[in-house]
Amino acid sequence: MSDAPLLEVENLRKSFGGITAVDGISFELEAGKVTGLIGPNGAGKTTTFNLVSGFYKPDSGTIRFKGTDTQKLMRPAPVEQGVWTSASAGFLGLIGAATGRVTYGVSAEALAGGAVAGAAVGVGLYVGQNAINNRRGTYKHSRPFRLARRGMVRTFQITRELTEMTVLENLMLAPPDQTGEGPLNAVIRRNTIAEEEEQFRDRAEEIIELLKLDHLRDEKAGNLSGGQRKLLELGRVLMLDPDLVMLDEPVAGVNPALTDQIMEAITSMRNEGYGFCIVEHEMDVIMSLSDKIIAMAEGQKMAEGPPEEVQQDEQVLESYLGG
Amino acid sequence: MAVVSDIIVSLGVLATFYGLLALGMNIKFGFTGLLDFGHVGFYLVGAYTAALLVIAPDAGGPDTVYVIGLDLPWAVGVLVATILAGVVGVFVALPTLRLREDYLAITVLGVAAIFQRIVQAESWLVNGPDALRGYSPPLINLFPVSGGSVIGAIVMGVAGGAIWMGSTWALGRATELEFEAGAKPGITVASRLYGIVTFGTDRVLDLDDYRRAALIAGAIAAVIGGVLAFFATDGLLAWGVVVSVFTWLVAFVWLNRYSGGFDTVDYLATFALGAAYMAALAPMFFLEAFQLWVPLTALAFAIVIGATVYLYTNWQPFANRPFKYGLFTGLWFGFIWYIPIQILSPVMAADWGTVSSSIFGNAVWILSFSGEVPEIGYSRFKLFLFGTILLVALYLTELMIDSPFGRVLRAVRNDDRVVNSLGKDPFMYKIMSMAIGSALAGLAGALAAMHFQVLVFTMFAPRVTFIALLMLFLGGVANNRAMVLGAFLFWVFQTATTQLSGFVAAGLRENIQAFRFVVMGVLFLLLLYYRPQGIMGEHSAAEVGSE
Repeated sequence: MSDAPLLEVENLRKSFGGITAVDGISFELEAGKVTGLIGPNGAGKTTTFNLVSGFYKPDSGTIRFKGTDTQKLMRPAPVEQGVWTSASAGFLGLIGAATGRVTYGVSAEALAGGAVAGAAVGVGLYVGQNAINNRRGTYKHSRPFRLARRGMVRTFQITRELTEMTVLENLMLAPPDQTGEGPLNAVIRRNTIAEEEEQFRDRAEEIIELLKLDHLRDEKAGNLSGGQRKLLELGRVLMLDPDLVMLDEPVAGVNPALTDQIMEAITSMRNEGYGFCIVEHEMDVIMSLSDKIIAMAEGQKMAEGPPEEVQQDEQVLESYLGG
Repeated sequence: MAVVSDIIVSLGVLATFYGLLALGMNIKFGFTGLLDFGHVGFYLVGAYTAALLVIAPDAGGPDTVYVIGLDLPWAVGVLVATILAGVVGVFVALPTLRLREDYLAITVLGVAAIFQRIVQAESWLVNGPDALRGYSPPLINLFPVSGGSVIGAIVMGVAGGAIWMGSTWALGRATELEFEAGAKPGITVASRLYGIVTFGTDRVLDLDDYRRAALIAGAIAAVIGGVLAFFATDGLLAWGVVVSVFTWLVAFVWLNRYSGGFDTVDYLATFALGAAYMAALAPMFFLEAFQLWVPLTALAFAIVIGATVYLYTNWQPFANRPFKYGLFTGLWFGFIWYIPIQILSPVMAADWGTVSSSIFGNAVWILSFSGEVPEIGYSRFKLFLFGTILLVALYLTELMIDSPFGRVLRAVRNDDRVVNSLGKDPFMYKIMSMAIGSALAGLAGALAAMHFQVLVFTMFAPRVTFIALLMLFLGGVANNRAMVLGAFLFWVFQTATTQLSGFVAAGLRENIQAFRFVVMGVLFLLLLYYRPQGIMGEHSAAEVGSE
């Protein structure tokens, strides 16, 4: 990609009811760097995370990932458009047929004419509203999976692993564009799928080894400890080979030994060129990991800079580090 | 006289298409976690679509009115019904899937109710509120077929060959498992039998793969059966006996495998339990006055159930293997009903001719003996046809579920935000799941239309959805194969209680029919309380991994 930063956030705003959680924040993230997002509870860090990763719709502001507006990236995929168009056509076609029947009685012409007219209106409605939405700046999309496919993947503050699936399955779920993800392919292209599964399994085994989860590979994720779950989430993200990994409190509630392990994993991955954005309360961890720190308070950016600088910032010290 | 194997066959037919219905429910609820209380709606769509496609055009008579009759072959009807039900499933899914679980359930329940009301109220559409009838199931005018005819030869060839193939496959699998467990080839009963039923081809052609051996054996059996049935009435009979005996033997081999570790005491104990349950019903058979038999039967049942619970809690062999004990008790109970009870009265009358013909007729289950000559009746053909469709559907769904697609579905069931964060659109997966599940319900509906030959809106009450759910919980949530078991057990219960109500005075019969729903409800509660994962439980991931 050109010179555009990995992620640019400009004037991002989001309020829930009367509370403005994120109040016009702007920042940039660079590829291959670790950026720490700190701030007291309620500063809007997690909301910013959710906005950037597409889980929330912003009230205003723009987010550009690799130079492209994420709102554009999150527009419905052609498949989804097709489904909605045909559904809209089908449904209005039915209404049209029913109208035809009510107005002109039961006859093939009335039913078919009504159906065709209705279907045409249906297609028009969907295509029209789509076009209008894309033009209207205030309309916001929320399709996080579209961003994930472009290389921005996140984890959750409260770990969300798939409790009923094993560690290995959790990891093998992640790779994008698997042939076997379509039900038809699952039946007719079994050889391709078997080959792919082999590759994914190898990759998953590598990651399991990297994260030192070997002894747990066939354990149900629900039986893992909190720290192991954090590791598993990290591993799942790695399976996607993303450009930007967003970690929400990766070491909260994790014992020191595992914390070191997670930090090690993050550092070694950063050296491989992954970009990170990390929300974390553990000051030691975040200061030693990050190349850059963004300090937030009350939905706004308070300070930004290398860890040493931010640590000396008076405002930050006052509001967060307890002075 | 009534032949019990006929009852079993008609039970099997019902179980096949209800199994398909439950299979569809399993895709939606079991794997994806979409609680679809409107499942019956797609069953309805499938049934009426298939019927309208195969029915002759409306002649304009005053009795039946329907919108269109295309007079197409059944194959087209079933296919279109399946696809259309899937498409309707997508349409229903699009607005409703945005809702949370419980709201989704209620909304689709409403959608199904709308479907039912449309069919009921729109008299021009499918003759509502009266029944839609006037079409006949496929190939019915060929049946019953007897030996000595081309039709007989074809039917015997195809069906007999397929049954042979399936049984040989099952036997081959059993032998392979034995082999893996350390047995030498050719020494166990199963492996010897395997050598015979493959007509020696596994030795001559040196086939290691039992699937291919089964295919070849099936083809040979088809030819033999066809030739025999073509030349003589007795040829059909003879080959029918051979095939039936073979299926029984395979069933015994598998039962023997399953019972591994059972000794004489275990067999006797389970037999005693089965017999005790049957004996507990005795007052019903022999006493006329219901003031007498109702309390007596209830008392007897209380005693036997008490004894079962006592054994389960206090006797090691039972407590260690409750499922095997349960299965064998049930099998013995069924066996006692299947053979000894049926010959009870002729034996007492010393009418040995009837006794032997009853045993013979029930053992040779693939032929029906209600006509003058042994023949293959339509219901047996239907069981074969539906069974084949069910197996194919089961195979395809298993392929889908064991693939990455199934993995994503299970992930959606766990937490769809994770799926979203990993770059997969959970909404699309839910829609696909709804489409596949609804298509299976539509297929079940088309088969139901074929089976009942008459469609009324009352057949599509919400009750049907809950029966499918019951089968799902009975067999095991998120386990496709268990759906067949669940459907079968449900219909066994239904048939058994219907049989029982035959012994009751006509006035009470309806009460029994109603009462069994109460019993079923109580059993369902017990099941959910003590074994929420169902009899077979979820298809384990470790098994999937090893395949």
